[in-house]
Amino acid sequence: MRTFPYEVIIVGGGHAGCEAALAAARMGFSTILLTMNVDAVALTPCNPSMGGPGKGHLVNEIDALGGEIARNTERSYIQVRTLNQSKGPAVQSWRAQIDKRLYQENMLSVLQRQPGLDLHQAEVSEIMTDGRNVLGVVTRTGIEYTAPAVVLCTGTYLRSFLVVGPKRFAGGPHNQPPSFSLGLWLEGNGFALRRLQTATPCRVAKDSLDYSVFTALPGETPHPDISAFLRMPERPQFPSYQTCTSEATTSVIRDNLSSSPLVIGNIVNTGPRHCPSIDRKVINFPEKSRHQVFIEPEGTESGEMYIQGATSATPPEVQLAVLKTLPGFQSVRVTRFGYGIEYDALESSELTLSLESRRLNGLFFAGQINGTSGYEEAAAQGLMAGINAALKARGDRPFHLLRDQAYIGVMIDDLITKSFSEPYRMYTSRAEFRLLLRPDNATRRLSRIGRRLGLLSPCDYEKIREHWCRVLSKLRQMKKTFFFPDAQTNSTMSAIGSAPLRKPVTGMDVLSRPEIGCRDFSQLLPTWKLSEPDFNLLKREAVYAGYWQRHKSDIERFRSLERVSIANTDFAAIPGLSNEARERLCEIRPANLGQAARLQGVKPADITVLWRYLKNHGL
Amino acid sequence: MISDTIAACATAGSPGAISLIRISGPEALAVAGKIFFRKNGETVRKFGNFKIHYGHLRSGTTVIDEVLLHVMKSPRTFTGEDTVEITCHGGAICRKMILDLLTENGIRLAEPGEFSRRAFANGKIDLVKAEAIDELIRAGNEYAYRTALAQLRGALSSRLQDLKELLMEMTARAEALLDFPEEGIEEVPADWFMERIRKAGDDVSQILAGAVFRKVCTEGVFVVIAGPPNAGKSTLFNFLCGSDRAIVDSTPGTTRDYIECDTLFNGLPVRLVDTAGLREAGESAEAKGIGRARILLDGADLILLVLSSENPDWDGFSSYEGKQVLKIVNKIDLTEEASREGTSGYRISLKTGEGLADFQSCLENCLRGFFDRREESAIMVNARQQYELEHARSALSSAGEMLSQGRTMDLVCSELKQALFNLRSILGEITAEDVLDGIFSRFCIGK
Repeated sequence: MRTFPYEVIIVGGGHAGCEAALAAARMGFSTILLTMNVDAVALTPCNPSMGGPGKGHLVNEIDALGGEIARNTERSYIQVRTLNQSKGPAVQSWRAQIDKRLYQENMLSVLQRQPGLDLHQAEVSEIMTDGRNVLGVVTRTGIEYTAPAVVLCTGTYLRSFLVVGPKRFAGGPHNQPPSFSLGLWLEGNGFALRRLQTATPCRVAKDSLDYSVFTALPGETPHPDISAFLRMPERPQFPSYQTCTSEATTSVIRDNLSSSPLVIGNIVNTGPRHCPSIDRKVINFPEKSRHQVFIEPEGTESGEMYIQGATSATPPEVQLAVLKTLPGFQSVRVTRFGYGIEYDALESSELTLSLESRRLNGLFFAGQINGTSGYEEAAAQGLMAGINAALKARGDRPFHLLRDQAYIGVMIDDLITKSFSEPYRMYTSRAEFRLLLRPDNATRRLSRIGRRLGLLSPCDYEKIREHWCRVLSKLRQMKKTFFFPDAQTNSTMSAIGSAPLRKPVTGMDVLSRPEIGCRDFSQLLPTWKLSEPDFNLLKREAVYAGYWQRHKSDIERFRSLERVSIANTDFAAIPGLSNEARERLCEIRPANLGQAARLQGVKPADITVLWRYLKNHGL
Repeated sequence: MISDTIAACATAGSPGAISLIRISGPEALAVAGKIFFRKNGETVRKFGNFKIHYGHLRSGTTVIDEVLLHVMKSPRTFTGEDTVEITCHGGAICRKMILDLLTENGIRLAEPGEFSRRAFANGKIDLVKAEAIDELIRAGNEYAYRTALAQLRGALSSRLQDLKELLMEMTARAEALLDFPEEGIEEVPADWFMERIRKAGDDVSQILAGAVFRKVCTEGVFVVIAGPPNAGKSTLFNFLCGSDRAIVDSTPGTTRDYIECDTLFNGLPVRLVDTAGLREAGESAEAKGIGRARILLDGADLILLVLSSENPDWDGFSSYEGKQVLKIVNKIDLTEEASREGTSGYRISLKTGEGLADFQSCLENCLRGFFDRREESAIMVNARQQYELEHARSALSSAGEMLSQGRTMDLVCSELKQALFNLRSILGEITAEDVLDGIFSRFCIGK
């Protein structure tokens, strides 16, 4: 039997695993990525798209820190659009359709070229430990890999079952094999697990649809920026299409509800509410006769289309009957039927803010095994777990992002403090400081950290630094530039359709007026040569500048609780806590008072009790 | 449920015929079972719920007092916990011996407001109702009492809840649009938001008017007596107070510093102030007094302008227009009947009592105007609530402004969330510890 020594082991080659492996290797650690199937690296077994509000925010942050998902999306997109264009920069986001094959090939090539990273095809069946610390992993074929840090990114593969109508059988996503031994090992070693569920819709033959009745949704040219570091030349884009279900769809679904796994009950009921199956939509919204359906290309060379919005795990003949009721689907040919999948996920109480196990020193978890949904959420955790595994291997202190620093921080904090009965998806509304955590300032917030950790190359970082130096110096100038209420300025103002000035104001005030565009501004200030993107950036900064001031006290209040450490507190010994709060505190063991306050079941009164107890005990 | 059991005497400290000692917490019934004995010496194995039991409290074999025991089991109690109330004999020794007996049995003495705090922590009352309890206990007049009672029964909470619902509806719609751009959610027209923002803003302003109502209810109507020197202001002050508080003399400028008196006028709470006569004063102490008088006039709810019938057309007062002013012409006994015609104001003589009855009934009507409000606007808003409401109002007004300026929804939404945060803070759904400490420490022990 052979033993391979490494510094960091990554188990699983999905979106979490890829980021984790690249992060650890880029930080200079000898890293191994173990995947059950090298051909399935960076597989996108559900929708062929990346980004959108919340998810796109995460991708931009991963990018700013030096991760790969944004760059790989740039390499692989076949269509990009901006969502929420009119709703404000804080919630605006790009959304890309990707070529699934290309995405995998591009990611595989990045992994293979990464110095310090090895890629082996193997199924891990056991973790080696000395009881307290992780020592390595053993594969099903008996090979041992040793390392002081292991990251499990097992996605939806652990003890997964596929469900199609009344049939239920063992299987992983996309007909990949499931992994039973690792799930058993975790359970056998006391890890608290729960079962989650998700589902994916049909894929149909591209040439079996009547596109004349659909609304085409083309991409934007030039395409919106995805990565701050990589921008490829424009290439042809492929539209998605939109249609709506009909009355007939609803009645076919209703007639066949008895064959839906939701009704049969042969799958757990912990599916994502944000991505309901079409059966669920009909059950929950009986009054709504039309539901949106999007038809999305799976790739440039692919002969398949992904039917978003019509997810169903009913028997194949029902799925086909439902599809046939959609306008333009009369002669549809299905290439893959939809299915539901049920899998093992970890209870949030098992994890620390570093995504490390509370039970086993050096064991990290990332991605869907932590109860999230989505490629982007997985990638963000992968990056953080990879970084922390590397820091662990080096014996350094862990690296955390807080809720006021990044969406990544919001997500991980949510994962460990709240319990969710469905897979967790990122939304912009989850971020308290949404106006500050914008995609357009992700590099300003995070790239310095990415460089310090060694994830970003000096050359990439320099590009970002220069960019922000330029913008910030322009901002400073803008603050010092005054506009006076003279006749000329005010006649220009009224020509633009903006209220005339009544007193002298700074360039920031003029910039922040919503009606003033780039051309208008250069009319007012001809000496300034501002490109459209630079103007937009300055304008955003001007609009949000006031909020920074206002949020400062909120952040201070937030941080003041975050600073009070309660890591080694014996909650069972504190009198006056409510029983529910005591149970939650003992179970989750929050690191600080802020986290404690966010726990479900912990009321403000309990925090007061805790606070007083700490004060009285000089902590 | 909070885990330890607390006790305190809920009745006032002075010796009375009886006192009430209240015990709340999981051990309340068990401890009662240990120390309470029926008259025949038997212990009670199982107390009937919402029953009164008669017997003795004993420490060992020594009988401490003859008492009535009220047993109320969780959750239908004030605190939401098992509660036992002991009606014992009044007097400090008796109370102390019983409380000692309880602490010997592992019960802790309650902190001020701890019972109410537990009721809040256990979700029996919201913070606004908890504060109403405090107001109720402190109410110094019928108006304050009635309003506090209505608020304890939910008069203010329900309005705040409605407002919260309105804001939650708005933020939910806004957030759905921001987070699900492709789900085919119907766009909400700006008017929809505008209409609701305006309504919410109006509601907040209406509730905020309750801050003034609370002020007159708890502090009394601020009535300032003012006018030229030597018109009889201090005499009127003494008359209204019903005592010789102010020095009265025929020398003009006798009153220099102001004099205050809290009094009830036909049951209406009044804070009455006598001020220095207004004139161009040469001397510096008097000038300072006149300066103070002017400051007081600025804050007055009602001004009693006292003139002398010898100079009824004095007009050094034009700057207080807009305030409610009652004009009184005093010393009518000094002038001829004929010269009285054509001058406005209440003509009285504090010396002879002439015209006083008319003046008094007018003053009462004036004062009543401050209290007799329609049911829905009779709300007392305290300083904490006022602070949050004012912030909510400013957030709502900037949300409206942004919407009309065509600002993006992410910004508007941030303002709406701020207003929602303020409302939830008032109800105690989000609370900083120091706020809770501040609120409950004002309570008396036993409540």
